[in-house]
Amino acid sequence: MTVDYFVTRPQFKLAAGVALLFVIVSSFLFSTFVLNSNEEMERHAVTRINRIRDSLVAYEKRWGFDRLLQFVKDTDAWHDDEALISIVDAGDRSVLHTSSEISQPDAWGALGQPHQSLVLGKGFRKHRLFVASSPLSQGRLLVGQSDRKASVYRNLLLTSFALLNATAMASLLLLGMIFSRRSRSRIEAMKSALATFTAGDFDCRINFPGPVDALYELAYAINASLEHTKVLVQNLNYTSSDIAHNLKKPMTRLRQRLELASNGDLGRMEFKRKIEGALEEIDSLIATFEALLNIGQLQSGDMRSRFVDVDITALLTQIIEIYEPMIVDSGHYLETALPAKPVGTVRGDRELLMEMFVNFIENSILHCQSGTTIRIGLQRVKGGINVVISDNGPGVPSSEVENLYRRFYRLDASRAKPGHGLGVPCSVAIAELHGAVVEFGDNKPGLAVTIYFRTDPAAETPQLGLRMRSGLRVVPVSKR
Amino acid sequence: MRILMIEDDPETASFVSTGLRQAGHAVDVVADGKDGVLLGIQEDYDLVILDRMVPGLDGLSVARTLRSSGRTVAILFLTALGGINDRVQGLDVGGDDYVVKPFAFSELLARVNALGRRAPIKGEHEKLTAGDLEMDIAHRIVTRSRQPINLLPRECMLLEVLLRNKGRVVLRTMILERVWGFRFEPKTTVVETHISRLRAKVDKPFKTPLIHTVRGSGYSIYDS
Repeated sequence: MTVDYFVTRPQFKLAAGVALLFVIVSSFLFSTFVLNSNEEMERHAVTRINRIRDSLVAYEKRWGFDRLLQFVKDTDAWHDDEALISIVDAGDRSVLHTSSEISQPDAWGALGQPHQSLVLGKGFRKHRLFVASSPLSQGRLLVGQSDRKASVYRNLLLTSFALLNATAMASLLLLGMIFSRRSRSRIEAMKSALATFTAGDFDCRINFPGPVDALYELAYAINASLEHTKVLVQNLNYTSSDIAHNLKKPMTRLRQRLELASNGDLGRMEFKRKIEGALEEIDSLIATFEALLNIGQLQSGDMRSRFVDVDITALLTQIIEIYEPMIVDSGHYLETALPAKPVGTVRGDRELLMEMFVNFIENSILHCQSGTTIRIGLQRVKGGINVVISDNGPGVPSSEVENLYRRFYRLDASRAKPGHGLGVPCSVAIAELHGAVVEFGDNKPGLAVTIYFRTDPAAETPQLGLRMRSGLRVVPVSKR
Repeated sequence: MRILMIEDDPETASFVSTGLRQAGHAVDVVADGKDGVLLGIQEDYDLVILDRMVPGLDGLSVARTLRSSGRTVAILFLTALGGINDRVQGLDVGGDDYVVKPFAFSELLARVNALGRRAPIKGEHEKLTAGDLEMDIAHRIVTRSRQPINLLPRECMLLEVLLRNKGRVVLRTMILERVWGFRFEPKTTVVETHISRLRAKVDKPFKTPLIHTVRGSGYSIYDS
């Protein structure tokens, strides 16, 4: 990977930006500090040399020029304190000079410089000498003060600061490169997986190891979406072939009836019967398409905007009132288990919920022999509401349960009983529109249909697998 | 009845208007939604039969415009858009009934007749009658030959729907919608069961039956 590769990555750009900002801010702060410390050192040096100069002048006034010379010579403190004492006679000839670092003429020359100071040394040891002078009885006095020690500390600080900045910049850029590389590889993995999926490999998923970050979260969501898409595509394929297969039979019958009707030998009544039969077939086909359209519309989820709070107890009570005569007249028994107090409401469409419950009740009526007990139960369970419609009829073999979710699937292979095999898929679509889960269980004997409405989103779905519209279980591909 | 039909498919328009004219109705046909609105506002129709997908102005907008202009004319949608949501939208904008294409003309005619004969509620003391059967709507009291008949609330509603359409066919689907709020076709003979129970109370104890089955369509109640 080239430098250009990293430089163009957003993560690297971000890291470089942060590093640059850090350098700018810290440089500004440090410059402010250095300027302030320079002024402070100058003020300190000037105060000190003025004090020394005034003391020496006073000393000379009291004890005379010679005693002053002797005093200066005998005192070693000038060297330790980085002070300089230089005395010339009235003819500007050198009488005394305590510094070996700077010559007497250079020291006296500093008086003509701005701030009466000179820059001494080079590089790391660079420092300033401040001077002040005063006339004596037999000549002139020059007092100097160097900031060498303070300069060394300041230069040390400056070097540390430069090193710190360089380290911070390098670290940030390195981190930027690492994150950039990881992000890049993750994005490439996503692009590759999506391209493979688009090319037709519906089992392809995004897969990469490593820590959980925003891209990992995104990959997880994309994988879930791909899984859902796969199920929808499979459904579409199944549905298309199912539609073609299931429409062929009625179309064949329709054609036969019309062909017979077109036979001129038929009597008027027979002709009418054939035409009426053909119309019945057409009505049946229309009903099939209506049911398919309804399932499609339910799956689109558009109707959720119309949802209201539906009292599920009142709704079931009404349905029982409507269907009790039907159940009794058809030779079945009805058993109800509704709680005395309402169990609460679910957000939904009242008519659709009614259609779903009625469909399951009618399945029990139509598919169970006389003498069967049909039970309608309602109970509040942890996190939701359960509606159970069960019977003690023939039930559904466990191997066939998954097929119940399929469109056009009919347990009655002879197709002797009415129906298009779309009732259960339609009811499951209604349930899913309401965020509910439909589960078919063994009532031992018979079939128990449980419709679980989750009223508490925080609660887990108990015992019931999350189902997609096809009835297939969803298994997250990438698990944390 | 004076009927305005807004339909852009000439074949459907001809099929329906001919049938309605043969049934004794006066029918005007327009193919454009805007023309339909103008005519619907200017003229005094009893019923508007409206396709949802017409040029000029779509059916929903036509219905909305007619309602916002203060027209209380009955509106029946006759459309290929038969999804649950489509039906709800149609009724939401002020439609009184919704028939999905393709349709049986007999069903359309029954619904047209039912809409045309919608009896306005006259007040608390309204009474509906058929022969010697009498129903006090406000108090839900039913008598026949002055003998009280005990009906369950849903049986009362079923009888009321029949009585309000006295002399006309009430389709099974109309009973399902108006009595129980079903927007779907049940697989069982639930309507027949309830009619049978109603007959057992209203007709069986008496000599003359009032509730009659119209084969393949629905039921009708009339003065025998």
